[in-house]
Amino acid sequence: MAKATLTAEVVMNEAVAAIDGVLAATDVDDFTDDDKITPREVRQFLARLRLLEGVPFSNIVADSALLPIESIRFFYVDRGWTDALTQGALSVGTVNTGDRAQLDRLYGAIEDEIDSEERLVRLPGGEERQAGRAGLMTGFLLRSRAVSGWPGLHVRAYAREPDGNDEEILPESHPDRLKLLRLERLAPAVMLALFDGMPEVVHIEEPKRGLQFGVSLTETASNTYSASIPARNVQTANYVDENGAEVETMAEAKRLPVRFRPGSPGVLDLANTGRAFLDDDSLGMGSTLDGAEFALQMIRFPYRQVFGDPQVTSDFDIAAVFRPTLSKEVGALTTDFERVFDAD
Amino acid sequence: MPIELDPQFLNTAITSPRWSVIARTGLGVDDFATWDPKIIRKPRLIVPIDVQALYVEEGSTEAFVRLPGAISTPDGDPPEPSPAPLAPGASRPSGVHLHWAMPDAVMNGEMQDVEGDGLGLAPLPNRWLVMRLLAPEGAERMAVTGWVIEADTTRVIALKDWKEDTPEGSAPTGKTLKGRDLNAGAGGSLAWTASYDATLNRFAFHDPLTDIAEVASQGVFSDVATYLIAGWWSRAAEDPLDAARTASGFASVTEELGWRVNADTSGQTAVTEQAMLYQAELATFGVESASRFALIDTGSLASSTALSGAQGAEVFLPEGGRFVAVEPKHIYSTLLNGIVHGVPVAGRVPADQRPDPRRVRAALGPQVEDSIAALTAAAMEGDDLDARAETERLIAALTNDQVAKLGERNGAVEIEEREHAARFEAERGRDYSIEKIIDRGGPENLIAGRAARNRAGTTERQQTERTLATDLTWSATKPGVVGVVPEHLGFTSNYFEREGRPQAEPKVRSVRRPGPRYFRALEPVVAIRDAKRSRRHQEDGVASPDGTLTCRWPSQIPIVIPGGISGRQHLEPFPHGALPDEVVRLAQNAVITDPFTTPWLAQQAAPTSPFPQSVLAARLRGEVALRYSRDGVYDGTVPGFTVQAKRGEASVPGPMEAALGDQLRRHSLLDGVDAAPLGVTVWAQPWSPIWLEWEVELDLTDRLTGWALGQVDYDATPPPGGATRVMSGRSPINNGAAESLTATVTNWMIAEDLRDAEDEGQLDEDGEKEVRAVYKHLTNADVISATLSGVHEALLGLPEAPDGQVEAPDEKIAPTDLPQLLFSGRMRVRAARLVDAFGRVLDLEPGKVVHPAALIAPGAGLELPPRLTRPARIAFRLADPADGAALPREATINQERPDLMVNPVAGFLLPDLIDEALEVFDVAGNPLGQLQHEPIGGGVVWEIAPGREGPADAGPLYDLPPSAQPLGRFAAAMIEADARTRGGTALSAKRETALSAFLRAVDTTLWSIDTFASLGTPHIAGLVGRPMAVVRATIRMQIYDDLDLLDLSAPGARAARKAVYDDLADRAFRARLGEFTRDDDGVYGYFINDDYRRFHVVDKIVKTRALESGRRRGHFAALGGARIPQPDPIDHPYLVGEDEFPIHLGEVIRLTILMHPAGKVHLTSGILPRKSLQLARDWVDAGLGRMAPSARIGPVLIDPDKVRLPKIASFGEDQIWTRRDTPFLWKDDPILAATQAAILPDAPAAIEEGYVRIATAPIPGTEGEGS
Repeated sequence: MAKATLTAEVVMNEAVAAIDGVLAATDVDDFTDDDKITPREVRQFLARLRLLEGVPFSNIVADSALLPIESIRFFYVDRGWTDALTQGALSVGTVNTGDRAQLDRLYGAIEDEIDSEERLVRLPGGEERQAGRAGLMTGFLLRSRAVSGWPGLHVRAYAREPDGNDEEILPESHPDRLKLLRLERLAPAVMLALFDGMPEVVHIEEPKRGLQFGVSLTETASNTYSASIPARNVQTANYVDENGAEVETMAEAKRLPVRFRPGSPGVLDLANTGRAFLDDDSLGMGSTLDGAEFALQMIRFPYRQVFGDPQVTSDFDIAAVFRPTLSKEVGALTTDFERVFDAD
Repeated sequence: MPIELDPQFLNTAITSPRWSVIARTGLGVDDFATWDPKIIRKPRLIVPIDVQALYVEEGSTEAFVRLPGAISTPDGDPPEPSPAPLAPGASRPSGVHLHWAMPDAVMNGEMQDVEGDGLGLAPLPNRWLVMRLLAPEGAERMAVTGWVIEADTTRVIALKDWKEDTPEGSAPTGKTLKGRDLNAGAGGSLAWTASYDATLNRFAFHDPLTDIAEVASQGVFSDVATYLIAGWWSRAAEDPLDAARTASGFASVTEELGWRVNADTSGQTAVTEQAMLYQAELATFGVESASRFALIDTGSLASSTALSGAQGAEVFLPEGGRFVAVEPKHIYSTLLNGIVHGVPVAGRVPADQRPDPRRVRAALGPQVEDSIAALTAAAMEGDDLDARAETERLIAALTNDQVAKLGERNGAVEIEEREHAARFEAERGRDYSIEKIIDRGGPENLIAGRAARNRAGTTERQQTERTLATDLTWSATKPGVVGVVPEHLGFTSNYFEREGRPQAEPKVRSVRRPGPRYFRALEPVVAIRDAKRSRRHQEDGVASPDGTLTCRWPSQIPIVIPGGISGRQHLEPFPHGALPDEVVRLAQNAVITDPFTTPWLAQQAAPTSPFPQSVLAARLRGEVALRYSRDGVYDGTVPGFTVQAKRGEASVPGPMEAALGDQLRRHSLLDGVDAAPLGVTVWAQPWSPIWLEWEVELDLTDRLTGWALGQVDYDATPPPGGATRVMSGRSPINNGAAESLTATVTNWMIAEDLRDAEDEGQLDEDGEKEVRAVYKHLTNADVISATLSGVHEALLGLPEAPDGQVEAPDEKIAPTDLPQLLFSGRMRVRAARLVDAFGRVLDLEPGKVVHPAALIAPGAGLELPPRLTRPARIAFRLADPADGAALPREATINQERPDLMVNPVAGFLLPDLIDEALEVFDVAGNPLGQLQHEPIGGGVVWEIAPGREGPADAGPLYDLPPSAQPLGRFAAAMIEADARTRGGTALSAKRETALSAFLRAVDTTLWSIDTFASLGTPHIAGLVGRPMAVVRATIRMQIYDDLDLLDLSAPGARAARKAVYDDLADRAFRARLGEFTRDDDGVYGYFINDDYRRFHVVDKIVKTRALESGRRRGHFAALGGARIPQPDPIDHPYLVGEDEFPIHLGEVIRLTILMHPAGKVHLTSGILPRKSLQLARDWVDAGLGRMAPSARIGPVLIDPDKVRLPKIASFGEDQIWTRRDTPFLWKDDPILAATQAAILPDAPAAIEEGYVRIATAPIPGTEGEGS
C-alpha cells in the first residue's frame, strides 16, 4: 500500500490553493479604523509615486523644447502609466510566478488603498478627507519668472467657473473646487501642479503676503511708461467709472494717473498725485486728503491669472496651441544619420 | 526432662579458659570450629536482591527449556549444547529451584576501546549462602538448613562444613571463573546470569527437599519454607564499596551504584565502634578477624615496589621513602541479601504468575518503535487500517519529537524520513577528510575598555611578555615530589590580573570529518503486550520515587518485636564462623517478619511473653498487614490506599500513598528499617520471561523487479516473493524501548501542559486527546520486545551463532553458504514462545501477530522492502568542478588558505523569468554572459556579459577557467538542444525554446522551494532574483564486503563469494535527487555524467504541472489579470521528465546540480536512509556577495552630456551605463542619479540601449552632481 502522505502533487496543489488565502491586515487607518493590508510606509510611498514624486523630471519632460521659457503646459496624467509605475515598484522581489500570483492576489486591495491614500498626501489643515476611487488626474507645468519671483503662488482649480466671476474664491469644501493633489516647485522657475479631476478654470494668484501699493504701467513709447490706478469711491471703497458711477470690477473702473517725480524715475510724486485725487469729484473725497484715503486709492490686491475663463473666447483653435517641434531640422538629422552609417 | 550434669565436670568446665572465652564472646563451639579469620567483620551494607523460587512438585511433568550456556559443564568438558529454538524441553527434578538476580550495580559496563578491556564488567559476588528456614510443627525454634555456594567454582558446601578453602562439598558442575572472570558477560551472553540453568550452583540452587522429614519430623507448619540468600565477595578488593574511602566517597560511590542508604550515621558509627571493640576483644583470645589493611614493616622494603596488601589492595611507595602507615578508618563492604517467603515444600503449586496466553498480543515490525506503534495502534483502532496508520504516525511523531511539525509540510516528510532512517543502524567508515577552520573564539575573547586601550598602546609590554614558567619536578628519590618556583607563579598571576585575559588570536583548527557512514538494515522486531514482563533486571530502583535502591545498615534490621517476640529466641543457632556476621541478624529478622508463620510464632512466643497468644497473633498479623498488599505482595505500600496492581507486580507508591503508609507505619512495633521491596518475595510460581523463541517464514527475492521507489522507500503491491525459507532463533527480551517510548510521551505531555498555559501548545484539543489515548495505552500496556536476530546472518550464509557460548576472539567464521546480499519480500511468524528464567514457556498465537499498517503484506505477513544484508553507503560527495577525472577530488574547506580550498561550486545562474533570460556568473560572482532569445528568430543565443572583454559573438566557452567549464558546457548544450529541436527553423508560435522550457521548469520548482524566500540571502542577487548555484557532486554506492572478515580458506570459497558481490553490481538501484515536498530542499534539477543536453527536473510533476509563464505571459503580464496561472505541460525534449536515475554498486555518477545556494540536496534511495548535503558558506558567500545582475535598459533617452538615469536602489552608489561602442568594445559612463529636479538641458536627448551595472572600480569625474 502507498506509504507517502505528502506527494509532490499534493504540495503543488496546496501551494496553488494557498494563493487564495485570506488577506492579512498589517495596518489600521487612523481615521476610519479600517484594516489595511498594505503597510503604511508602502502605501504612502506608492501614493506619492502615483503623484509622480521621485519620477525623474526627464521622464516627464523629455526635451526642454517641450517646456519653453515663460510657458505653461496643461496635461492629463495617464493612469495606465502610473499604474505601471506602481506595479513596477511592487514587482521588486517578485521573481517567479509564485511570487507574482501572490502579488496579484493582493493587487486589487493595494490599488484601492493607494487610491484613498493618494488624496491624503497633501492634506492642508482644515481640509476634509476625501474618499472614493481615484479618477482623472490633470495638472500643469509652469516655467516662468513668476514662479521664481513670487514664491508661494496660489493655485486654485474649479470644475466650473465660480459664479461667472474671476474674483470669486470658493472654499476648499466647495464641490466645484478641485482638490489640489500636488503643488511643488521642481526648479526655481518650474512649478508642477496636479488636480484631482478636470478643471474648467484655473486661477494662479500672487501670494497674499500683505497690503501693498501698486500701479499699472502702460507703455506709451519705447521704454516710456505711464502709470495709473483704478479709481475708487473712498466713501464706499467701490470702483467708479468715468461717469462717477460705482462699478463691480476693476476692469470697468476709471484710470487715475499716478505721477512720478521729475528726474527721478520710479519715485512717486505723492503731493501731485494726492492733489489729482482731490481734484477728481467722483472719488467722494472731501476738501482734504488724509492718509487712509490715499492708501485706499493706492492699494493693489494680488494679481490673479485666470486660465480657461469660458467668457473669454478666442479666434484660434485651442487644440493647436501645443504643437511639438524638433529642435533639429530634418536636414540636420539626415546629416547625422549619414555620419553614423558611414562610421559602421 | 531435666538434664543431669556431673557437678564435678561442670565445675571444671566453667572454670576452664575455654568456657570463659565462649561465655565472653557469645560464640558457639561450632563457630570456633569454622572460624574464618579472613572474613571482614566490620558491619556491611545490606543490599537487596531479587530471589525467585520455582517449586516442582513430586511427579510433575511440566516441560522446561534448559538453557545451560557456555560455562555450566566442569572444566575440561565441552559446553552443553543448547536445545534448538521451540524444542519441547524436559521436566525438572522435584524440589525448590532457587534463582537470584544480580544487583544492577554490578551488571553495568561501559564499552572500552576495541583493544582494551571490552566492557570493563565488574566481578560478581562469589560466595553465596542459601539458608532454608522452616517452622517444624511443635518446635520452639525455626529449623535452619544452609548451603554455601562458591560461585567461582560451582561447588556447594553444607553450611555446617563451610569454611573458606574447605575440601568438603560437592564436585564442581561448571567452569571455574576466578576473580574478574566471573562477571556479567562470562556466560557467553549478557543475559546468562538471568537463566537458571546457566547459573546453577553459582546464582541458582536446587533444594531437592529430601531432608524435610528429618528436619521436621512432625511436619512443617503450613508446608512452606523461607529461603534466605546472602552473597559477598571473598576478595574485598572486588567489593563495589571498596572504592569508598571516606564518608563523602561512600556517598558518591553509592550514588553511582544507584544505592540509597538511610542516614543513620550516628547509629552506624556506634555500631561500628562497638563491633571494633568486640573484634579487639576477640583478638585477645587469639580469635582474629581479617582487616583490609595490614601494616607492613618498612624495613622489608628493599626498593621501590608495588605492594600487595593482605586483601589485594595495591600501593606504590617511593624508594627509600619515609612514611607513616595508618590503617584507614573508613572502609565499607557489601552483603547482598534476598529472601523468599512461603515457598511450598509439599503438595501442589498453589499460585502461578504466568499470564493467560490468550491475553498476550504481538506485533512484528521492521524495528522496535514500529512494532510497538503497530501493537498500540492495533489495540486502539482494531481493524481500521487508516486509523491505525494515523495512530502509528502520531506515535512516530512523538518518538521523534516531531509533534509540533505534524501539521507542517516538512514535518510530515521528516517523520517519514526518520521512521525510515530508524530502520537502519549506522557504522562509521574508515575514510575521512581534513577541514581547516579558523576559530575566532567566542565573545569572551573580545576585550574592551581599559584592557583594549592597554593592549592598543603597549607594544613594548607585549614584547616583554613572559611565559608561565613553573618548574614541575617529579622525583623518585626526594620526598618533596613537586617543586614549584614561587616567584614565577606570583609573576604570572599578577600579570594576568593586571592585563585581563590575553586576547586570543584566531586559531586554525584542523577538523577531521569522517567519511560517509555505512548503514545496515535492522532486523525485524517482535513487540509483545501483556506478557507480564519481569522487573528483575535493570529495574532495581523501580519501587522508589527517585529510582534508587534502598539499602540498610545491619543496625537498622529489626530482630525483636517488643512484647516478647524475638528472632534470636526462635531461630535455631547455626554455625557462622566463616560467614559475615550480618547473616545471623538477617535470619533472625526473617523469623519475625515471615507472613506465613505468624500463628506458629505467636504460639511459640506466648509462653515467655507477658501477652496471650491471641494478642501476639493479632500483633503479628497487624505487622504483616502494614507491609503486604492485598494480593500478598511485599511492595512497601499500605493496602487499601493504593491502586490495585496486577497480581504479582510491584506497584510504585505515589506521594499520597507513601505519606499515608508512613503515618500508618507509626503503629508498627518493629524498630528498624524495612527491607526494600526488591529484597523480599512472597512466593508464587515465578514467571520472568527472558527469551523469545521464534520461527518465521520468509518469502524473499534478490531482485528489485516489481518494486518502485516511493517517496522515501520502495513500494510494491503486492511485494514480490521468490524462494520461501524458514528460520528460527532465540532472542533476548528487553523492556527498554517501551519504557523510553512511554517516557517520551510523558515528557511531551508535561511540556505540552506548560505550553498550553502560555497558549503555545503544539496540538489542538483533539490532537492532545489522541496523544492522551496513546499515552494511556502505552502506560497500561506491559510491552516487551525482541529482535529476530540471526535473520541477516542466515541470509549471509553464516553459521548460526552458538547460542550462549563464549566465542573465541579473532577467530574468523567460515560461511556455510553463499550470501544473499539483497533481499525483499515478506515475512510471517510461524511460531513463537516466551521462555523464562527457569525455562518455563508461554506460546504466542502466530495468527494474531499484527504489523505496521503501512507494511502489511497480503497474507498477513510483514512487507520487507529491498534491503542489503551487508552495511552499505552512498558516498554522495561534493566535488571539484575543475577536475575532469572519473572520480574528481572532493570539495574541502580551508579557511586558512582559501586558495587551496576545493570549491564544488562552478558558478551561479540568475534566471530572469520576466525577460526570459538566464545570466551566468562564475564562482567569484563575475558575470560571464547571458542566455537569451534572439529577437527575430526566437532561438536561444549567448551574449557575452556587458563589460567583459571579448568579441560580441564570443561563445559560452570563450575564455573560461577550468572551474567554470561546466557553466560554459551547460550554456552551449542548451543552445545546441534548442537548435536541434527547432531543426534550424524559426521558432513557431506553438513551441517554446529550451531556455523557455528550462525557465518554466525553474519557475514551477520555485513554487516548492523557498516559497517565501525564507531561506534568505543577505546579498543583492537574492533580493532581485533567485540565484542558483551550479554544483558538482559525485555519487558512489558502496557495500562493505565481508571477504576479509570471514574464513574463506576452503578451495574456491573466496572466488565464489566474491562472484556474488560482483553479481550484485548488475542490480539497478533507483535514486532521486532533491525533494519537491520539502521546502528546505533547494534542487532545481541536475545533469548526469556531464550530459548537459538533458536536464533532469527534480520531480516528474515539474514537467506535467508546469505553469504558464513567459515574457508578458501569465503572471508576468500586468497585475490584476489571471489569478491562478494555468498549467501548461512542458514537452521540450531538453527536459527529462523521469526524476529517478539508476545507480549501480561501485559506479561513480558525476552530477552537476542546480540548487539554491542555501538549500539542501536530498538524496533518496530507499535502500539506505535519505541523505542531505548543504553548501558551506565559504563556498558561496564571496560569489553571491559580488554577484549583481546587470539590468538591460532601453531604449531610453540619454542626455548626451551626462547620463542621468534612475539608479537601481540595491546596486549601491557607483553605477555605470555600459553599452557597445563598437562590436569589440564597451563604453562605460558613470550614471548620475536622475531626480525630480527640473533640469532642462539645452541639447536634445539621444536614444540608447545598454546596461546599468555596478561599477567595480571608482569612476573618474563623478564628484559634483549626485542625488
